Amino acid sequence: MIQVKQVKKSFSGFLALDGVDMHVKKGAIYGLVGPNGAGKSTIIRHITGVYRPDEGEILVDGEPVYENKGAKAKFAYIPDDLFYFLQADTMEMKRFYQGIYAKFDEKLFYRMQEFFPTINVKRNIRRLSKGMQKQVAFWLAICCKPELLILDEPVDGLDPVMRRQIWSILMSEVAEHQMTVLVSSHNLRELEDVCDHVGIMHGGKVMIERSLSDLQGSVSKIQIACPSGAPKLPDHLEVLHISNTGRVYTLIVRGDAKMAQEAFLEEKPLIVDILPLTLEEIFIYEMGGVNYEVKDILI
Amino acid sequence: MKSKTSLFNRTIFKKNITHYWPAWALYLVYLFLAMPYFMWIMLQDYDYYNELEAVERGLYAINGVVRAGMMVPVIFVVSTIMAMLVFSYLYTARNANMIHALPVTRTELFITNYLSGLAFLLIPQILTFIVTALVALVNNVTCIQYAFYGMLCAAGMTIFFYSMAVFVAMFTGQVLAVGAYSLIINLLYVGCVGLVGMFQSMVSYGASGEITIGQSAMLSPLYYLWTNTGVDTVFGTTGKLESIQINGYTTILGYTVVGIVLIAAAYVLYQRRHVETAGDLVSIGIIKPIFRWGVAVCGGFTMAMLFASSTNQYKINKIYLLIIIGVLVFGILCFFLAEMLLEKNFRVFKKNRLIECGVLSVLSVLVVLLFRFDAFGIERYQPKAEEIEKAFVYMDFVIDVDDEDVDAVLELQKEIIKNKNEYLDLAASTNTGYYYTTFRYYLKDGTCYTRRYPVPTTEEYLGREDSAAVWLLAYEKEPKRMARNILGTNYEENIYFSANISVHDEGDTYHTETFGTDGAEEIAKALLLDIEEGNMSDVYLYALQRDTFEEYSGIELNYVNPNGNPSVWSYYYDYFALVGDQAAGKRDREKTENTSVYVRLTPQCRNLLKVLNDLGITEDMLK
Repeated sequence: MIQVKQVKKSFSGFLALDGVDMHVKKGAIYGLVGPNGAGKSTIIRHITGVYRPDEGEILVDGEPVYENKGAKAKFAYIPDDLFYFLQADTMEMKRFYQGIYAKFDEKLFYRMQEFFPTINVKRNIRRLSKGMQKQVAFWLAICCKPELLILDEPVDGLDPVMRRQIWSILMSEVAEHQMTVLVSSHNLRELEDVCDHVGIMHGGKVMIERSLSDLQGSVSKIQIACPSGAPKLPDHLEVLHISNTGRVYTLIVRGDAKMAQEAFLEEKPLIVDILPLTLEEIFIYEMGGVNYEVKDILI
Repeated sequence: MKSKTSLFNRTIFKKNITHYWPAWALYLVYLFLAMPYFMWIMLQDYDYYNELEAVERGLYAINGVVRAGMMVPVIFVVSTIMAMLVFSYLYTARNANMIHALPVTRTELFITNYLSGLAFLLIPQILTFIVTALVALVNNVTCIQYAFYGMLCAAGMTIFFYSMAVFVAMFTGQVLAVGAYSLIINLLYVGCVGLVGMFQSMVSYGASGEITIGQSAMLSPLYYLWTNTGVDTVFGTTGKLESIQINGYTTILGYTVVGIVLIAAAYVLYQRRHVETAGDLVSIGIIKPIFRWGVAVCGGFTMAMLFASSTNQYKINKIYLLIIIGVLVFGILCFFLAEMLLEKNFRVFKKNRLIECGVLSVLSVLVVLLFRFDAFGIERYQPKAEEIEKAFVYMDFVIDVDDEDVDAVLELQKEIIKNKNEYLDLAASTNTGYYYTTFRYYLKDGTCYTRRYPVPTTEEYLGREDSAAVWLLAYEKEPKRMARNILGTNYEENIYFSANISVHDEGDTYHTETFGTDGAEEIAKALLLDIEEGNMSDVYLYALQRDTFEEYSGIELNYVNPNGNPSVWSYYYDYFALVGDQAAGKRDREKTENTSVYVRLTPQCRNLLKVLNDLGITEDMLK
């Protein structure tokens, strides 16, 4: 659905994007993560056709997106910094989007009103709370019936119940209409629950781009306690991190978890367990060598 | 596959109407009040106009309406505000990002927003014309065609100013900068010419500081339209208003065409505009150095001149040194201030900028020195006698030089130029020992050349037969010239019908004595006799005045002149216009009615005092 090829962009001499390559499959929920200043919002503004790249190409559903009305009609975009017209209420914004997006579903708009019971549609949106403004943005974006939904820090400012509700609406749209979602966020725990693909940006580049299952299968956490104290590490095992509490050692290893377990069993340990790694932990250990900024994305 | 191209987006147009209604509604209200309402009031309630005949009354009313509709500053301000509003989405990052992420092309956005603003300007004008026409018809005013022509002129100016503002809007990412830049660009040329004139007058010996811009003022549209368009009233021989004349059709048409070109240029700029420049003072990279240098040069020189003139008003031979200091200090300040504004950062003292600023400073100092030491020959230049249509010299009063004296005047000026250092040093050393004298030549090619020098008038110079001051004073003292100065260029044909003089009563009170035709004629004759005898020098030759002198109450002489009597001043200030009017038969036919001159009186005016004494006014009564 989205293909980003070697996109470069600089602002007054500062290289914000340094050859970004990115691929989002149709129907995928793609999480874009990275520290502040990594270039997440910049690449999203390129994908939405707002910025013109200095170099490279961006295709949405096979079409160049910049100044392409047809390609832009396929997506809806919810930025981190929402904008509503001065004095506009929800109904006016609805009429505006209805005029702009040919596929806008008015019936769906009224059907979805029950999901947002706290929003007064006649009230100036700018007077609504930040969370409510975000809800309106989701509401309108879903009603545009997009094939692709691009979200930049989407659930910031939403309360936990509303977060869950919003994600649930999105997931059902993905399931029912094969909608593709590109979501940029700092919140890895939340992305872990919803994304099937992840891209991590750092220094204006996408450093890793994989499916979540691939990522989770490539690194394992093993807890082991041996009578002799520290376990002997097999030569073929790449250990990313080791720590201990008394005689219980925790190892983060790259590679097949079962093979690692078998290797340790030869030591006749008192216990040996394979534990699941969270997305957060995977990033810590995968990206641990880059620098502190990558760790900053983890909360 | 790309979506089909559309040029206009109804949704955005509707959004503009609903969001910017206060702007177009206010403009509509202003036009309604200034035009049909004003006309209605004028035709209904104003007694003065009701006394006029219907046709004339209608013309007066339409005249007011057209004037209000063609107010150039109002059209400029409203057009600029409208451009700021409809393109305001370009000036905040949130808004710009949101709009440009929508499935709308820039072409669609540009055309829709441009047309929205234009509609908000032109529709109120059209509606106002329709209502004005209705008000006119209800009041039996039939000359509505002038209101229609006025509306077309206003529409033309609107298209130009609005397109200009939209063009300017593409250069910046700050909404307020659109207004500021529009104003600056509309007045930049005349402003720069004025700045150069002021600079020359301070640095170049003889440069007068007067500026004659001529047709090149077209480069400052606001100024040019303001001064070259408008409405004139045409009166018949009976003194009645016969018609009104709208000036500047061709000019307005020309600017309208320019406006269309500008809008095409604005479109191209918009296509290339980077959305991320929202918030930047200058959104196009190549304009940034121009902005930096423009601010540094204009700001630096303006402040340097203010600094020099406020620090040192008299040492005119050394003022260029102060300007150099000012240009260095203020030029550098303005340069980095501009850079800070551009970069939105105080840390702008980088190596390449410091080098750039150094180059600017060296060039600025060089310019001052080149002008001061006359590298361009500005000080040395004099027109040839055969190029001169009319020459004027102005020390104490303006003298229109006789054709046979032009060579002598040029020679005198040459001598003054030769004595540059001597005269400047003297002027710098004394406040009263010199008198500024202006030489003005209207050249046959239609241009005007003016120079102004400090001519020494100390006792030493007045005692030298070959000094410039002596030559000039002798020229001024010639009776015909002084008479023309006091009584007008056609004074021989003046018909004096009364004279007034304020006389001292016993005690501290005064009263005015008035004399009829005979008394006035006698006074005029005595005045001419006093001029002949040189008795008026005390009060009219300021260059000679050293100490205070006794002066009596002056006389007001009232006259008419069947062939008109323009003052020498009128020729001096706008010779070609006046002569042109005379050639066109406009001036000679206009007799001068009920004009008065004020004649100053001193104890030396013995002929005037004698006549007054004969008329019953003693010298004591005049003290």
